Amino acid sequence: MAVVDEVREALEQAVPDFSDRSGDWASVFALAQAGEGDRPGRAGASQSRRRRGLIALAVAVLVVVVATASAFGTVRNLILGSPSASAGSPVWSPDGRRIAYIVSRGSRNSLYVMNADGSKQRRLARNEVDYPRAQWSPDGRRIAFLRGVRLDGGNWKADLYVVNPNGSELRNLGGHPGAWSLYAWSPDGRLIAFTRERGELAVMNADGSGMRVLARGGSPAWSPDGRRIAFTDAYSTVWVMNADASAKRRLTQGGEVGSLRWSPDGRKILLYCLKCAGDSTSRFNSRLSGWGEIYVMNADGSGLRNLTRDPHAARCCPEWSPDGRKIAFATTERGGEIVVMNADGSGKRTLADGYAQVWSPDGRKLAFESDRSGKGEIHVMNVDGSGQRNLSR
Amino acid sequence: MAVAVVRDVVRDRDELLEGIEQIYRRRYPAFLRVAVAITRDEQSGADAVQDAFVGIVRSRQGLRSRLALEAFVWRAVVNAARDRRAIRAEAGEPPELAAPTAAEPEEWVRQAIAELPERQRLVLFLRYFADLDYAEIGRVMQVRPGTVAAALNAGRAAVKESLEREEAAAWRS
Repeated sequence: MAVVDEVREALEQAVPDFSDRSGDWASVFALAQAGEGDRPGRAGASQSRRRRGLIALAVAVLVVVVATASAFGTVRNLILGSPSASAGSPVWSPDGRRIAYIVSRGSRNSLYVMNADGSKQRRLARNEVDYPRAQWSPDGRRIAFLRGVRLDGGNWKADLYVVNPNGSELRNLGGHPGAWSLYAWSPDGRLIAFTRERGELAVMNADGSGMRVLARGGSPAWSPDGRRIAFTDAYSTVWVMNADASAKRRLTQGGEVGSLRWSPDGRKILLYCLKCAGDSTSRFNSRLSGWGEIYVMNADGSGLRNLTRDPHAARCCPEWSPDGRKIAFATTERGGEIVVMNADGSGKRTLADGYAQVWSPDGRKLAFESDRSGKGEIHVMNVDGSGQRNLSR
Repeated sequence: MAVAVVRDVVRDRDELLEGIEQIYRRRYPAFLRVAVAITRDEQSGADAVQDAFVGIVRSRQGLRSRLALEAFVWRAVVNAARDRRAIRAEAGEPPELAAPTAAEPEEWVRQAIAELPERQRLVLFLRYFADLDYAEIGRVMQVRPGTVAAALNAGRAAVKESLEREEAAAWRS
């Protein structure tokens, strides 16, 4: 046995494996949102007391399992042998036949694509692929993604890349997007809008040429007809402008608005908003600490309405169904659940434990990420929650 | 100038929060394992991971580069685990894990690792459990990659020597 393997095995025997643990993001988020008087250490100590009984039981079970496995010499198989791969951030191809996703192994992320039934999983780009999720071009012939580039001296910069779904023609488009920059293909596939490092909203041609800055801001979202772009400014308020940067108009004030989604008919905009409050007005009250809530408003900024209004869970990443009649979102309740509701906020229904949900182009399925097995895997289900299937196996 | 910087930071807040959440969800078992290796107590390790992420979420406005985010997060977890270990030491609480007992057959393995200098032990865990490369470990521990390599080699050698010594003893007996 090589020294490396021996050392790894020795380490594994020294510290229990926790690969079945998924943490409690909801508690982290709640504590972070709490007032400064709630110091994390004290809150953690309080939780310690509440959890101590369960933890003791879990440790006892772990000891029994490991001891039993040791007797049969299978400790190494049972205990994590190496950091396991975790798959997430699925996105359907426009024809619904394939799914692109990101596989994380340790600190390295690679871009993969597979058929929608989970077959023919193939790596398109390895290492340093960055979030957020990849984006298919509207014609399905290319996939755009962010990738980090290591510079001399150990610094990093990101660039936009494109690759064909068969892995050919990997190309660096440049652009220097900012941290976690959201980006989006124009509906005609000719342009990509993105946020540059210095907080500039820019567009470039799909071949990387012709980059031009349109505004200060980020989180670009093209209207379905490609004539307008909604975005957030430096204060995370929502603006809309024509695609040539003319006619900029502010739609909201206050709050901290994140991702934006136009309804398929272009008449409404979904907002994911932190610390937003208020209703039926375009003025959020950013002084009220709150949870991530999902709002909808008309594309002219009127008729703002909170669709979630529930103090118990943070929410994220709302997505319109292709016909615009439903909205799917993820909540941090119980470690991550996918909820579908009608476009007016009624009829909320929890479908599965998971997050990062995306509608299939025909609106009949949802792909999502779930760590129910102890690591992130891509699943699909019908939009009523039936027929759940793990594609990563 | 200062106002412009604040504007840029606020713009990235939501995107960073999503990134932090994804790192938490994907890497929680590894964070917990390394934190437990430092605190030698499972509950303290879990609390340390929570402390670290609460602090990161609260202070994410100060993060300027997503591509260094994971190293930043690891450093926060390691620091939080050290704080938790100090709190336990002040309270006089004995370690509940990785504390060798004569009745356990792997006592000598745990003993060998427990006896490593902290830097070597931490480098080993970050390399094998967190799967970080030398440069990333260097960013977590705020030392040069060459120092990481040296500590890793020394840690490996110490564990290897201990393994060989115990195997020889077992063979003789």
